[in-house]
Amino acid sequence: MPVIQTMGLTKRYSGGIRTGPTLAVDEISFEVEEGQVFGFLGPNGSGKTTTIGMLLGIITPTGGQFRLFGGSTPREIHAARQRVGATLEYPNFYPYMSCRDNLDLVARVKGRGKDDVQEVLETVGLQSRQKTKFKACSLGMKQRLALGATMIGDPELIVLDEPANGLDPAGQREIRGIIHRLSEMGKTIFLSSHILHEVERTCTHVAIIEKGCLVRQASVSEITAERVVTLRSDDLVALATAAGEFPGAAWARVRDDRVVVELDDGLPGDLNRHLADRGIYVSHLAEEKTSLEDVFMELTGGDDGFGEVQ
Amino acid sequence: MTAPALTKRIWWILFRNEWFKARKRLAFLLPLGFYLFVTFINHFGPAWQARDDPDRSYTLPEAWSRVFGEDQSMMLLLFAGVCLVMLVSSEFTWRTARQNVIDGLSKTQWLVGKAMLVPFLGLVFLSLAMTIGFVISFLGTDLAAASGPIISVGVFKAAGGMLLAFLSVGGLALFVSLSVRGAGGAIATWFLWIFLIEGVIVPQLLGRIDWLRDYLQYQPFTVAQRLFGLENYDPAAFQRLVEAREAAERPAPVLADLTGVLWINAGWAALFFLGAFVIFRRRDL
Repeated sequence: MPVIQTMGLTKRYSGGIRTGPTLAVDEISFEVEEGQVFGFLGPNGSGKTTTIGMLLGIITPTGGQFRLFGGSTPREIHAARQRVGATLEYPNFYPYMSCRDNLDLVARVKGRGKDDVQEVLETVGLQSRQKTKFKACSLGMKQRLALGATMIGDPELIVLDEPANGLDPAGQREIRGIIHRLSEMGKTIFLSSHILHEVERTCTHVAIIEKGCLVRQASVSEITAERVVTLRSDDLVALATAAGEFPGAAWARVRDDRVVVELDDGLPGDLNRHLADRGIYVSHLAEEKTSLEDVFMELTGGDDGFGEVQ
Repeated sequence: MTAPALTKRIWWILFRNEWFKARKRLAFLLPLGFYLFVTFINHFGPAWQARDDPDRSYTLPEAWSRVFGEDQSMMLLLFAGVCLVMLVSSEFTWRTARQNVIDGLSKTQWLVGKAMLVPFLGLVFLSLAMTIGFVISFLGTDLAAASGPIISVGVFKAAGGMLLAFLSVGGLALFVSLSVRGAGGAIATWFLWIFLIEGVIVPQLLGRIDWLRDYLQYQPFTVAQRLFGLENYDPAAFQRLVEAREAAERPAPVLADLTGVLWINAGWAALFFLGAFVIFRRRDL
């Protein structure tokens, strides 16, 4: 039984007179199985937070349905939400209260006691700062507190929305470590993030959403098993245009100082010959594994300054 | 993991959490402290004057009229209402309302927690006013010379009336807080309603139409104000007021139609609570 299962989940905002209706999430269907570390990716405004909000019961879907731990009725979903620990967007706590007091409040709602709070404070490394008021916490502390709050009550599913947002590399590493530990404990983790290399390192599965539509769902190993060809020459735009015209190319895109091409058909040598026939001689040609970033940029039309050439 | 049972226990959790949040909040403690101060002044002033002036007295049971008088009652409604707005609307600014629901409360449970604040704040502010008024006036009271029992049934009835008045005015504050979802905007809207819209705009617009003019007295804040005054509940207090008016050659007071006013007030309270429930349930967090 999937932990999360969405079937045509849709959210349409009626909007104002000037803005008109907005389709934030458009018939999304995906599944998250028990024990997966599931990355939910998409550009800003793609509908990630709205989707998570619907799963957590704070946004009412306008179409489709979802199951949480198999439950689909409001009563079943409310009961299932007791098995979920989640944080959405920013760490949301009472600014005038201490870290400890904020966690005490969460613990009471979840039917837990002070021992659980103490354990969580130790896990996220906040025991020495437990009396610090939330408004005086650094962003890293706030993120750790939010992560701690999700862990109270030993939930089976942990939903994290941008948990490493605004953190320095050390902070990101720390969060990654905590997620790894939770994963090793057998928790199912549903994670939304912009930091793609973090997702690639942390997640077992990903779904990519763009303009409210699900454009890809696969395991990370499946995605990174795909191969791309990277090319360099003096004129990257001309190179990308010519590479995009190669019959076996799925797509070609300028990325930083190189052109990345995914081949559906044909060999890198065939591509090189195709380019040479058009008077383009490459200074570098290599076959590499696809990164999650490559796939994400391709599927979401991410613009890296040169635009896409198909 | 143990889910909070949808029984008596969840009521206790909701109440405990709301009180926990309130008692640590400066925006609650400051208005409460200021209310205590002005309430103290309201009773200490006449008690102090009575010390030096033999024609004046500030003793029980007469002093209860001041506890349930217009000045004290208005202060109660306004200070408790402001506290309520601060405690409810900030939850949207900080997005803690949404986080509370994510943490496991249902939207209905969250709303019930906030709705419980209305009678609770009413009780707290009323109890403080009664305690301060009682203690200060008791110090100057000669029990043997008192004109009647120092605490009559009428006192409890007046307290009940005051609480009901706050249920409707506080219900309006709750409704506005859930609609506006920001402390500043909600307080401004609430004040605008009770003073400008109800006090000036509606009377100006509807007062010109003969058949509507009579209904102006049934506006929520106007009805709540008619529940003020010990004389509405205590015949002895009413008699004292009649005598005082006669001595001052002023027109005799008229008793409010208490049953009708209570029902209309209860109706407004129910309407505001229902409106708050509907608007909160319909909107996403």
